[in-house]
Amino acid sequence: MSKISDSLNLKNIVCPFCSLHCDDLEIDVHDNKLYVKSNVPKSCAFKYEKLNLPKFKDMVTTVKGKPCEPKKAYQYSRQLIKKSKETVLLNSSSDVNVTREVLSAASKVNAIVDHVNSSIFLKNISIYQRRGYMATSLTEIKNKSDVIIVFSNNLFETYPRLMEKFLATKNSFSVNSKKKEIYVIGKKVKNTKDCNIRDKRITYIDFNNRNITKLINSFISKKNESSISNKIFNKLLASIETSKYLSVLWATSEFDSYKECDEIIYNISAYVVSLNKTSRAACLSLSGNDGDVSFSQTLGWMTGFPSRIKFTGNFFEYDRDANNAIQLINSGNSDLVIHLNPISEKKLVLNKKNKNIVIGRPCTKFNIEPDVFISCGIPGIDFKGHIFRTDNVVSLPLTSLRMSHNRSTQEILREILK
Amino acid sequence: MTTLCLKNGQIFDPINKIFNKKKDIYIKDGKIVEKLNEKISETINCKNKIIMPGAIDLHTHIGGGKVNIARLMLQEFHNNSDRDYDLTADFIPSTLKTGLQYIKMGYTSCFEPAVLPINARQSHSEMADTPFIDKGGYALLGNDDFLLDLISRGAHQSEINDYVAFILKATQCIGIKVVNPGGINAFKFNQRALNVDENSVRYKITPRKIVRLLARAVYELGVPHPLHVHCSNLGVPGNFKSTIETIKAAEGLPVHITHIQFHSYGNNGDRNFSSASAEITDYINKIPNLTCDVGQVLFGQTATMSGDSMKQHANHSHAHPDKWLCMDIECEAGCGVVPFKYTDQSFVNALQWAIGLETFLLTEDPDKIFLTTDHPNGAPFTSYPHLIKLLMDKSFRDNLLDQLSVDISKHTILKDIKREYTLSEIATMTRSAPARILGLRNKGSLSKEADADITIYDSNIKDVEEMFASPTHVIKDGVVVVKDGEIKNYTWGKTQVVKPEYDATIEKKLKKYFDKYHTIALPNYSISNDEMSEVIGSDINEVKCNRKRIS
Amino acid sequence: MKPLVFKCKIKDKRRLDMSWLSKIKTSSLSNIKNLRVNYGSKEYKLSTLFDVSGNNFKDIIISNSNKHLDNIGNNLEDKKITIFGNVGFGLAKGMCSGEIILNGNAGKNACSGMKGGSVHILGNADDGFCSLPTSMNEGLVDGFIYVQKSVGDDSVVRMRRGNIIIGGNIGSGSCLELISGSVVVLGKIGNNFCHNARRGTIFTRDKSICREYIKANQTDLTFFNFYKIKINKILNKSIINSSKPVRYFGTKSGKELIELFVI
Ligand SMILES: [Zn+2]
Repeated sequence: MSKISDSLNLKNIVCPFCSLHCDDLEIDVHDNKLYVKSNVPKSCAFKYEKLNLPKFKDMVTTVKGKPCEPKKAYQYSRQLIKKSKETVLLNSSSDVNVTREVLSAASKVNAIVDHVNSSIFLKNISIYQRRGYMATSLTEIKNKSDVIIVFSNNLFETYPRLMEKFLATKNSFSVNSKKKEIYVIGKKVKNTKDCNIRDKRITYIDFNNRNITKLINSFISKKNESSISNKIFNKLLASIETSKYLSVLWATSEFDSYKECDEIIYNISAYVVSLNKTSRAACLSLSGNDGDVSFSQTLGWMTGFPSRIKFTGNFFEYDRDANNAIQLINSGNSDLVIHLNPISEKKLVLNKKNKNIVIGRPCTKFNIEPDVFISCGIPGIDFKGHIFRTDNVVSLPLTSLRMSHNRSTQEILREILK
Repeated sequence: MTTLCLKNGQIFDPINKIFNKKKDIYIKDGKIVEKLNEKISETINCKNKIIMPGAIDLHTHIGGGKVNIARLMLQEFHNNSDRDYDLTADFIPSTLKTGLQYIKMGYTSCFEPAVLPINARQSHSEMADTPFIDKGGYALLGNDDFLLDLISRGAHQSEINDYVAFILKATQCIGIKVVNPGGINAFKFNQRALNVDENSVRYKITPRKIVRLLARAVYELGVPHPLHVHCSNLGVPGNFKSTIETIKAAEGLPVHITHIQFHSYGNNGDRNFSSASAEITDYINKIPNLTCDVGQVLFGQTATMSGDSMKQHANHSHAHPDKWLCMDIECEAGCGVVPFKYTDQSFVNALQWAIGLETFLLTEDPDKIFLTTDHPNGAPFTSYPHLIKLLMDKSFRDNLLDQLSVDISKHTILKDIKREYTLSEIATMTRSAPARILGLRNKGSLSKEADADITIYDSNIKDVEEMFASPTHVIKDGVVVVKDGEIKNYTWGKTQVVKPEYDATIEKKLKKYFDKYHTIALPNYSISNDEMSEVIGSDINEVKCNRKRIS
Repeated sequence: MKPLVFKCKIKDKRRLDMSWLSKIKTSSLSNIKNLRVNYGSKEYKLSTLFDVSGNNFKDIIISNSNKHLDNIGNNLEDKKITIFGNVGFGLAKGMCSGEIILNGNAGKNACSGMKGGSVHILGNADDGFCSLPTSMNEGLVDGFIYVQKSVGDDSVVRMRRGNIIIGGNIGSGSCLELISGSVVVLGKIGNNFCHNARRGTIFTRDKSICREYIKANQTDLTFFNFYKIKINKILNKSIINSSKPVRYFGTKSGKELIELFVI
């Protein structure tokens, strides 16, 4: 950890805030403040620079909304935990090491462990639980893919640097990058605005992604039954058929509100699998930005299940319904929820049906006042850590950039479960 | 620190050529010592007990992306009713269960053979969460675009050596493995097979060349563990020829051929599938620098997982249950997970079973062959005691052969083989030999100053399967961790690594490649010693390398 | 021998995993009362959660069930369970043999991964009825299920064998990838029915789905009559009463080998 007076120039910093985890950030640290030097979108840099306000460095603990000594917050948390008859530990953004500690904490108090995005990543996993799946990863797409199809409603808002850094790249090792063909299928106006890259390799196609299955069936039958014009459809189909390495990207979270969600992802996957009989093609289903991959991977190796675990004595059980935290909370089945959001507060929703303890990044905003709030350091800003990228296979080191008065989530969990 | 005395046991210590001799063993500060001058804190009466060094598994898939994919893909098998701690299936156990089951069988060191460099953080994290055992990994090379490009442009051996050394350091591994040399890469360019002397379409390089260059790099860098080779044409009838050609490709340098059972198939007979174990073991017996592990198949449900996405994709139609996953990974390699059920009703599976056993029994020197099931590809590691019994008991083996649902007696010479492994030979193949081939001087041995990783068996138990399944005591680093099947203490082993020296100019070249083509930065690719201990959670132990040069 | 009767004493809203019910082996009442059961984060003696009486541990009655009791009849073998009141998630999940009679509604994912036995739900079943059990790629493996009223969306996924009779409606996305077996739906059928189905037999009164199917010329009614008699006999009432069904076979897109009887 650096001293407050130090001036540092740090390179190749891994950004913890979106699951692309870009690691080309150059950050200057003056006076314990962070300045993003590299040329990245404003929205990315802002995530760092707003942390320079002193309130993001001071440790804040409140009980029922009133600031108090940390000791008191710990003590009150312990009381709540002791009184609780059904405790839920709900992750809404964390890295591998936080997840490890969450599991250990849950085993101490016989709690249920779940992630806010579990219903989505369980869908992704269910593709290869049911049938075959061909997957790929971002470096492979960058260097080998000559045709890329992206189904996007707002992917370029969720992953601001997806196009620039991974898809429409200047260099590719094994294909002529100038001849890449990239199709962005979805809400055209939104995509062109978010993506903000005009490049003749990219074709934006306006399409209602609810009808992807129809489009896929049109590819299979080679007869256009979709709403896309024949001219563009034929160009797209020709690209698929002549491609040497086709990549298809989507984020299941974008389809989650559709009734057809399962059908869409199974159909894309089955189509891609079928192309591999004669040619090469692969899928990449992008994960959420809330540490989903780190969470499901860590739970996977520690328990064999990706989420929805309940500890009972020395053992644990998996139950996709009975341990579905969101459902439990909404129907008032649990009396205490410990929320963990050290990296982002985006998915944090408190419910007044139960007591709430929030261990979260400083200045977390709430929809209702939690019973206890304990601010914690942010992995990748205040603490070291280790986080998985969206493609499930690359994991990157998170570093500590500055001095903070906050303690790590792990320490706080250990403290309140003493 | 406690001191410990093991009194009156029968010692098997192959490195010191001690077999079944009565001797007392003293332990202090986690090491074996000649004698103790201070007060002994605990004495274990080892009368009628067999004492061996802790066993070492040099090829077992216990951590990394593909193992985790299998865990999540096959949750329906996580329903073991007699559970120790959790429900996970024996062939895809959780990290905790992996540690528990290994230590209860007296295994104290295990090595993950397929660490993708880009996935090394995950592999090490999983192994760090595996209690008791020491661990290590072999980094996968030979399908990465950087290396293939280097080779295709005629790079000098020294440059390849530097790259290999860099990878070992960056990934905190103890060895290098090559899987289907060049084949996984070729699959990404839509090649579906690649023979030993066939050029890949993209790079115009043969698997032979890749094996030769890597074997030499590993040798010249002085990495104790020879190049770990998963040959071309896995599972293809007639592939024994590729296996022999791959061995030849090393040109006399040491190599380790892994799960050789899957690479010892002929294509004779009316089913075009036959045993070539005689041809293969002939070769093993002849060549001095060659070692192999078997990858024995045993009947039952399991999951096959391999970096060999080319062959796994080709085999996906055999998936049972019907689901699978293949992945192309980061211009480095790939992975394929295909669940599979070996049944004794299948001619091919039954013959695979026999071929594995033939290979064990026809290989003369137990220093050259290691006991593995390629966990979980042939069977879960928990079946090792059963496998040991098959090797040690001819009548047991013959009985099982007779009971197979499909008659393979005309296709295997198993019945004609009289050999029964002795306890000494089992001790060699599971202790001293793997320690030697990995360069672990303090393991697999009961010499003074060796690590006090010790397993004690009850020689009153007449059934060897039962004896090997349930040691009475297991000692790890001088601590009694298992006593009568119960866990007494939790300990966390170290990660064994090598760090051969290299010329840092390779890093400049790599940096250029990474900046231009990769999606992460070179410094974030490497895992530092600090990261290993502080973030990943496992301390490392460096195994020495002695640089050599071929004139 | 008197049936083993469980009377629930729980008042609050925590969920209770009832998997232990299928595992009851002992016939001694006091042993059963002393069973340790996990409820919420604590462990309780069974008798603090239920009043228990009776001695026939193969004939179980839950006299006042509610929607927080999950996994009743989970992996059940060779027992009869009669339930009065609603149940929570996972009724008869992975059931192997025996009988379950539910006088009430079933929660999500009832009968998922059932392998045998019979289940009578005299009420509604929620979404995911006969769905895929965790990570498996086959849904109903075998068994007989009767639902008096309606079942929810995404029901009956990858059914392998068995018989399902639904007295009311079936929700949308149902009978996905049907492999084989018979499904009777007396009420309305939701959207996207039988998507990607391979084989199987459907009996329905909902003519709206016929459009996609090909009318079979010869009406071979041997199977129909056999099935009709069998079902009516099992349920002891006239569920299928048509004597002249219209038979369809396969879809117009030519993919599915589904047999459809409009009754
Ligand atoms: Zn292997």
